[in-house]
Amino acid sequence: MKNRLKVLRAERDWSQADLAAHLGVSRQTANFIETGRYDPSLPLAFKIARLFKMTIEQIFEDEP
Amino acid sequence: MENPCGKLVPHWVGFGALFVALALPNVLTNGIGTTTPVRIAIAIGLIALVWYLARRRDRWFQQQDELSQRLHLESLASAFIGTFLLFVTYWLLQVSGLFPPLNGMYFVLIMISLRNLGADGALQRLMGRKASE
Repeated sequence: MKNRLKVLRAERDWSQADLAAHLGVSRQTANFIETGRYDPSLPLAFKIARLFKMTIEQIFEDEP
Repeated sequence: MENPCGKLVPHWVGFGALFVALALPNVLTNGIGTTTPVRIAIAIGLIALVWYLARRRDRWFQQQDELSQRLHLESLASAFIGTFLLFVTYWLLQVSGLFPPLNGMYFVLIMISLRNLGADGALQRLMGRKASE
């Protein structure tokens, strides 16, 4: 699944560790989500969306 | 919706019933073994230690994030299936007379080893997924 986390994180000048701390997950998890290796659960996706004040669809894009 | 089964039969009751189902037929068939109070005390101490470690591991699991929990669950699944296959294979070869009876301690060691291999395998599978930018 594609996502805009890297861009959104860069806009805020956050490191992956910062993002992980905001989400309450490990840096490894933040990295795996950002690089599309791991699709977050729905609660975590909502948490990410709330963090960036966006909708899930604005952050994540399904790949057919 | 909350699962009502947890209220009807607490886990410890189910576990106790399974233990009785395991031990009772064996005791009724073979009788109680020869032992001493010291050996029983040592066994109870070790049982308490194992239960404490298992509870601590459970609490650790609950505190992990969802990716860590997924990796842990995948590794447990690998350990369960791998241990089952290894021991059924050994047991059948033992029944055929090829191998001697196996010490139960190997069961624990094999399961722990397979859990660690499973955790590594699950992580490698995720690492191998195509990264999307």
